[in-house]
Amino acid sequence: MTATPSTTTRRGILHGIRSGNGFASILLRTVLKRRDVKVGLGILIFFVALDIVSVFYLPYNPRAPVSLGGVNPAPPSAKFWFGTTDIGQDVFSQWMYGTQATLLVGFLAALLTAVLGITTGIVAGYINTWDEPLMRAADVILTLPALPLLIVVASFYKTTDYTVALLIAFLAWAGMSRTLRSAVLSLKHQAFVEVAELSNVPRWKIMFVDMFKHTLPLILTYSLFAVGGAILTVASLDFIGVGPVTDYSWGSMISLANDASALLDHPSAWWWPIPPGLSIAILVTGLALIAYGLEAAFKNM
Amino acid sequence: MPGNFVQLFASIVSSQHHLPYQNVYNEFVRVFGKPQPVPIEFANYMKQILFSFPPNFGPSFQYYPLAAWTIVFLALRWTLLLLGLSQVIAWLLSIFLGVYLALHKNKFLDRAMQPALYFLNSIPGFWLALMFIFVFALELKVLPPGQAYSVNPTPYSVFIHMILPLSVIILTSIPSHVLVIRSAAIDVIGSDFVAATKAQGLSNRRLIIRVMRNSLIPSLTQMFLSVGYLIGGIITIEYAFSYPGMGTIIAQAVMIEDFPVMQAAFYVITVVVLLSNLAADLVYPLIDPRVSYAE
Repeated sequence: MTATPSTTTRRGILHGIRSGNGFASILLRTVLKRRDVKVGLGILIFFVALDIVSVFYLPYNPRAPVSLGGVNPAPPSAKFWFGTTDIGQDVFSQWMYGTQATLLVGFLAALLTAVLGITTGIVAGYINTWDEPLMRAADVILTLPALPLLIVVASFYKTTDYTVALLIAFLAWAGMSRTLRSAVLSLKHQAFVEVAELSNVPRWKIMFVDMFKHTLPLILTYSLFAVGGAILTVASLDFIGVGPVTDYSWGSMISLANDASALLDHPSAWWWPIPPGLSIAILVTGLALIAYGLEAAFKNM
Repeated sequence: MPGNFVQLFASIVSSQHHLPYQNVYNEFVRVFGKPQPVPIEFANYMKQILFSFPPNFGPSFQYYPLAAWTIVFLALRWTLLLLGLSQVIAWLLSIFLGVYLALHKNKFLDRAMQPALYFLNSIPGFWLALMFIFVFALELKVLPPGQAYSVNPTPYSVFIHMILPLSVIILTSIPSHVLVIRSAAIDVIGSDFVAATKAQGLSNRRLIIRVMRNSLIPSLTQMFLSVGYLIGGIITIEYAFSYPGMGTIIAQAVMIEDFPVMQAAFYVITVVVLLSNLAADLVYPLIDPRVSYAE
């Protein structure tokens, strides 16, 4: 059994393509009616907005000790909304500032994963000779325990936000590649592809324009999961102490709080690790809500 | 590693312990052998790992005379204990929850549980561990905050120390199990044989047992295949609890650059993951007679 869209859907898609609307806009209209997607988008927009604001404005310098003379870590107050760290940094500023590194790594890793996964998946599905080598490579990557390998590699080579995103993508593309390959295999024998082949449309155009368009919902769903996965992976690396050493992120905030025994001290400095950890959980949930909503909407289309 | 590793390490040791550099370097060469060209060293390294049992990764830098393999092997017992126990419990709980949600699809609890499960799935395990330590060990003072046992590894002490790490691992691995079992159970409920069972007038209890049995198959293989991912979560949680498993060993090795231990640890984890993938392939035909590898 192949996953063929119903006749009405296909007509809808064809109409959309002919009228220049594109598959994406049809999908968008269906998806935006769902409540889970709305909530997820709300969460995502909040954090992206926080990221943008933090580029232009931060209440205090996130690196410098700003709460001098007084007990540190200090509980939340009107002056320091989320309290201060053990050396008197403002947790609220650090939290805002950490959004930048966290979102950068998450989205960059997902982008690279998508590029690798789309290329290998579509090529493996469409060109028979490339199927075996690419899929065996994907099998090898899928068996590797990603986080332990990342920890070992990151302790040999000190990583930055960019290299860690590349490493994560290198270990994450295989799943996406496999999913796309099977989607392309079932699309390959549909009428519109055969028409394109017969009318001399270049091969790369069929693969990376037509196939890409028709697997877009899959790609979007998978990429959103990849963003969440990358954010959690980087936070784990930070926690073990081998994360990107360049800057503050949510993961490194939790790690620093743990290293300073923020919770073990008496009284416990709970205000320090809670904002970054909760933010990771909420942001990744938001991404998952959009992804599952997209998946469900596409199934019902 | 760029640069000469022995020189680097010798200079660190000599500056830390105020010893003459040349003496430390000579001692390193005596213990680890004279540096050879890289291809020969690599061939020796592979030979020692693949053709000796137990695989020889050399002595640990941190606990010097002890072999890196011994340290990792002692830690592996604790990690496998946590992994095995947590997955059995999480899986059993997930079967009941998953099938219940599938039977009550789109009812209130099912709708409410979905976002809750996504949220639970999105919490970083080590952060949840820190919160559990904060609430149960520091505020309520009912359970110990870390380690595997207090003075001696008596069964009671081991049990008490295991409750917190185990519950964090169970909580973070339940969502993926439940989501897989729920969707498998929905497929099973929609299939013909369930309609036939209903038409035969079998009791509801028998029906649920049949649905459960048939929904197990995808989730069991999924559990074996996700061992690599699970170990990744478990090592950060162990580190948060200072539990003497692989996580703590790896984190300590990373901190003081104990490379033999790191390599041995990654080797062992890879072997465990490969074995569990093999187990998934071997168990599959046993639980699902439709699958067979015979030609």
